[in-house]
Amino acid sequence: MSQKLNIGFILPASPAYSETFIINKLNGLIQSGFHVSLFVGGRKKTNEIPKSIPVYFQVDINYRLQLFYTFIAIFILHPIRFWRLVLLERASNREWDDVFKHLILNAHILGKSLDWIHFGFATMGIGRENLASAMNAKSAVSFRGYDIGLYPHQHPDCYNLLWGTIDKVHTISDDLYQRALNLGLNSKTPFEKITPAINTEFFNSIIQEDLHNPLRILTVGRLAWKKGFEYCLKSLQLLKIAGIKFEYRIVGEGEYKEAIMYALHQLNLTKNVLLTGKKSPDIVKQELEWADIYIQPSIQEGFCNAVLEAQAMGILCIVTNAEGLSENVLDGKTGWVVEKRNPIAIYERIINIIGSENIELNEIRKNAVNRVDNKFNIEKQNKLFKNFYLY
Amino acid sequence: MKIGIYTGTIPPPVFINNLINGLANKNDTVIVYGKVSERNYKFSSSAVVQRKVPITKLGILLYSIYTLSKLIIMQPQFCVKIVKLVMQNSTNWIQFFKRSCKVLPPFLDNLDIFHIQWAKSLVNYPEFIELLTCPVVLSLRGAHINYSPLSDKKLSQGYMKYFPDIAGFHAVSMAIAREAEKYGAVSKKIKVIPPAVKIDLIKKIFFQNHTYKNDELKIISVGRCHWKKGFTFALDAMAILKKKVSNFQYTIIAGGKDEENLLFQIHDLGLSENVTFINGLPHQRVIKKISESNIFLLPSVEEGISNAVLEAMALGIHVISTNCGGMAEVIENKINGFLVEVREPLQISTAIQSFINSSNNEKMELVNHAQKTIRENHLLNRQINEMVTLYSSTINGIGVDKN
Repeated sequence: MSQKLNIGFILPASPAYSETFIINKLNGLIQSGFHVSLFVGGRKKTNEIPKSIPVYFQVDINYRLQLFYTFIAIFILHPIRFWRLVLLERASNREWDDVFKHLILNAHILGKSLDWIHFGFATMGIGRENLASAMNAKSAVSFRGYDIGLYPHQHPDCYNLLWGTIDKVHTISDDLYQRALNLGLNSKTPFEKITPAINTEFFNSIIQEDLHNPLRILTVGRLAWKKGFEYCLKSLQLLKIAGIKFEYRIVGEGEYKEAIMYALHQLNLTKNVLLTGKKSPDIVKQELEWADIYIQPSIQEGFCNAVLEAQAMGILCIVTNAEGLSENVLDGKTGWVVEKRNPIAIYERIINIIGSENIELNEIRKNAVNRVDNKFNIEKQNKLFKNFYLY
Repeated sequence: MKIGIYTGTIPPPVFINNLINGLANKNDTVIVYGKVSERNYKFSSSAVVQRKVPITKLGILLYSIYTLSKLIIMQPQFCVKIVKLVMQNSTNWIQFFKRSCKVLPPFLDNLDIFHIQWAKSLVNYPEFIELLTCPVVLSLRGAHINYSPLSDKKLSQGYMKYFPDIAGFHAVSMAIAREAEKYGAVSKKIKVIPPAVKIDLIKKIFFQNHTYKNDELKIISVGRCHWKKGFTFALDAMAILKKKVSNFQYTIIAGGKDEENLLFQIHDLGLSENVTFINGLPHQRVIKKISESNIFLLPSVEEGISNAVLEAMALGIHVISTNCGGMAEVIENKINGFLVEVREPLQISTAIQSFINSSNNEKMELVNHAQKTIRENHLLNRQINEMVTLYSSTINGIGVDKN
């Protein structure tokens, strides 16, 4: 019976290659026999999506004529769901203009036959709180980081209605779940923690024992303020002043590049740091093979797949205590967790690693590889997701 | 003298606005070129002539046809040359019309001097430097010189190409002048004219009775939501301060859209009760807010010379500033304010505590010195006179006295 379930995923856009956590999940569900559909914004289906998954695009609000005939179409073709959604929206004290907006926003979903509507991020549930009820489906939401850690600060109470209508919650970390409870999520709503997973067969390597000189340090991530690169660079400035030779590579691209480049210039690190730009998984693997130490200096982070990949490759990981990172790396066992926004803490940890015996470091490396292999592999994730929809 | 000023937008920022009005009040003819960002805006000096670039598609089309026609009538031979260059720099017809609106008007005004306020405009509209017959003066300001060319190769190459042809540079600080020299700005053509404030701001201090109550310390920062303003480091400093000082209020007034990180950080550091974030205010209200504070904090990682700091000093408010850009040319540590290193929250927090622990006499002495600095180096009249000197020496083709 489970094989026949139809699951519709609501995402902001067709997932890009860097969003491996979503692509892995979709592949897993198909392997488990579910029918999966994607409902996204934008206009483009990315190549990474399995061909068997149909993708439906949200109406573009810039095309007024399209808005008009979409509205008429759902009214004629799906009158019961149309009116049910209108009544539910009005019962939720929504203004009429919001009701119309939400009808248009959900027009590409409303007519489909779905058992589950799964909001890929909590923000995707805003304006769609009554959709599942109108369609006689169940609704689930995933907490991923930004949606719980950041968005509500600028939009207080944005999830109040969602908390009352959601049937099941998927969280990638205990921390995010706790934050959601603080935001008003009902503790009685069923939830399941399913951490992200990686392809451990691809990300594995022969563990390298000796640290290189100059020391090789790596971070993989989007160049964004929330990744905390400026704090990391400050710690590397301290390392340079202490006379430690090192090379630091950042793999990623993003809107914060100008700030990072200026920090490099101002902290006199231009010759020590290389911004490689965005790279394919194969090249990322090569960069991980190159590195001695992986740093994740984030200020805000849901869980971070890149840290899992680094651990799987046996790289020594230093991460901050931002949200899910301290569940990703076990402090002193599979790597080290330091306080966020604290360059001295990162610096001291690097000094400590340099001063450590190989035997101690190897223990950490092995623990990391074993833990990721056992706890964060895709097979395990697939099984958990399969059960998620069968409650 | 007929002065053309290219501002980017009309109205321009306050410091350029003051300059324009000041020049016009000295009986010079000032023509301002820029894109409209506020309809019906008028400069306080009625002598300022505005050449506004329209924003609507129809407006752009009509205005470009008008300027092109005028150019054909006034300068038929030259017209071909400039139209060719504008076409060359446009990728399609829409861009051609847009570009014509921005580029052609100064060619119709028979200017004595053309002053470009932002270095990026020089590279974006090379028609000015390549074809204007009057000398071109360029202002060297903050981000356009200090960091944008570091991450934008095309921009730095543009600077290298055009800086040697600029007739005169206005640098807001010695530091930025040195930076511009790296891109080929000729040293003897650079005149350092620091930003300035109106004398009225200083007068206000005599009517204010400042008291320093340590138990309700008010700290303020003003800027825009941008990484270069370093507000994140200021918030880190407040988190350190909170462990030592219980009762303080820190206000950030910053316009712009990128406030997500600041709001997150305020919450994340548990500073909601101590920090107020205001997403932009009109200038007069900003001045009022500054004058109601005890400390003005400039946590920037990059600045030319901050006007807001000059305003705070004029108002008699203590300044703690990072040592970025040209700020050390204004602030002398513990003489007329506090100077701390960039990206060092601990130093900011320590400076605030030094302020708290200093006696009222020491505080008054700092304020007096700060106002003296403003009176001596940063009054608008002086800035206008120096700008006129720069224009004259540039027109006469003689090197400028750097200071």
